[in-house]
This record gives sequence, C-alpha cells and structure tokens, in this order.
Amino acid sequence: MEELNYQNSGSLSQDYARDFIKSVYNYMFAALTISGVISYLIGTNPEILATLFLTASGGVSMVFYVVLFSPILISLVMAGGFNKFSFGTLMALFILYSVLMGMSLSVLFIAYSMGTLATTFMLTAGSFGFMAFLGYTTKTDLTKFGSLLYMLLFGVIISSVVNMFLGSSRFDYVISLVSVFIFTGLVAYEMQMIKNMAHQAQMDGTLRQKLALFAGFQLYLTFVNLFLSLLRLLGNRD
Amino acid sequence: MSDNFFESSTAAIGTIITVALLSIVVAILIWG
Repeated sequence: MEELNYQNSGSLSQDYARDFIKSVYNYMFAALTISGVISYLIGTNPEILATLFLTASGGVSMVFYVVLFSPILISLVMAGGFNKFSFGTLMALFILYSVLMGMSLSVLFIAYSMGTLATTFMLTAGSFGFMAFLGYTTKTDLTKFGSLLYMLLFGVIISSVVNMFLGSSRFDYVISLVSVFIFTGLVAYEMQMIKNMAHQAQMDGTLRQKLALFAGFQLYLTFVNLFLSLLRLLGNRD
Repeated sequence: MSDNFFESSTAAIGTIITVALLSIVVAILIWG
C-alpha cells in the first residue's frame, strides 16, 4: 500500500524536488548578491573603507578582525542551532553572515585590480555552473569522492594556518592550486547531495525549509571559496 | 595601509569560509 502511494505521488515528488532546488539556488544567489553589493560599495569607497578598517594612525583596526572572524562564530551557532532555532532566526543569521562576508571581501578591491576580480568571478561562475550540471546529471555515485575531498579540505585548513606563520608565497600557491581542485570537485558532489536531499518527499515542511537554506549556504560558501582560491592563483601570477 | 596585508588576508578569509563550510556540512549530515 505504501509502495502504491509512493508511486502515485511520483509527479508530486518531482514538484517538491524542483521547488527544493529552486529554493537552494535562490538562497545562494541572494547571499552572493548581498555580499557582492556590500563588498563593492565598501571596497570602491576609500573613505568608508578607511573609516571601517583603519585606525587614526593608518594601522588595521579591531573592527577588521571582528568582521573577519565573526563569520566562524555565526556558522557554528547556525550549525548547532539547526533544530533549536526557527527558520526566521536561521535566515536572519544567514543574512548577517552574507553582510559580514561582503564587508570582509571588500578588502579584495584594495589587493586586486577590478579586471582580475571580474575575470576571476566569471571564471568561477563558469566552472561552478559546469560542475553543478555535471553533479546533477551524472549517474556515478560521488559520495566517496566527496568524503575524500572533505578530508583534503582539513589538510588545506591546517596547511593554511601553518602558512600564516611561515608566509611562503610558493606554499600559498600550492595550497591555492589544491583548493581550486577541491572546491571544483565539491560543487559536483554537493549538487548530487542536494539532488538526493530534494527527492526525500517524506520530509517534514520546516525541516525541508531549513535544509534548503543550509544547502544554499553550503553552495554559497563553496562558490566564494572557489572564487578566492582562483583569485589567489591568478592574482599572484606576476 | 599595506596592500600586501590585505592580499594575504585573502588566505585568512578562505580559511574562515572553509571552517564555516565544514560546520554547515556537518549540520546537514547530522540533521538532514
């Protein structure tokens, strides 16, 4: 009987899946737009940038470090409060995260030229789109591949922290190169994971909403990370 | 204001986003 119901609700399940994926992309694009607009507004306005991030003596202010590190706290609070918090609270934290990330990313306008930023953004969008399509359409199970990439990501975090003290530009280049490989692969894996999640038709409504938000958040973070890795590769090529 | 400082902070932003990404992925795997 259950099997029969499941078969009858096949097209309904397809609609649910489509709505889920649509929501995921809406959240991702909304966050990218918020971060992009804020980083551009601050990054292209030296006065605002100086007021926010510089001290009177020209050094880097505490605000910069707060803006830089607070996203870690927000993501941990969101991850820990998935069940406890309402969808509205999680959404507010997600928006706050995008705003703070936009503020952090505004410093890229100091470090890189507008041409490099634009080219890298387009390259990121192209690679992202291609890999997302691949992840959505492939019949190969990418679960093991994804687990491997997340393990490699741990290695990258440790290497990046070590290199903050070493300051080696060659090591940074290698880390960026490995990161580009990891994040490009992760897009395909995450897309397949989201597709599988979308087809779980029996899921409760609120849980579904929250998962769509988190999946959008996940894609947004992967996109920004791919962008930064590519930027470090292209920007350092002098 | 050092351009080099902000260029090197790109790596720090990347690391922070990576930590955030991992925490979100763990949350999805636990609760999803």
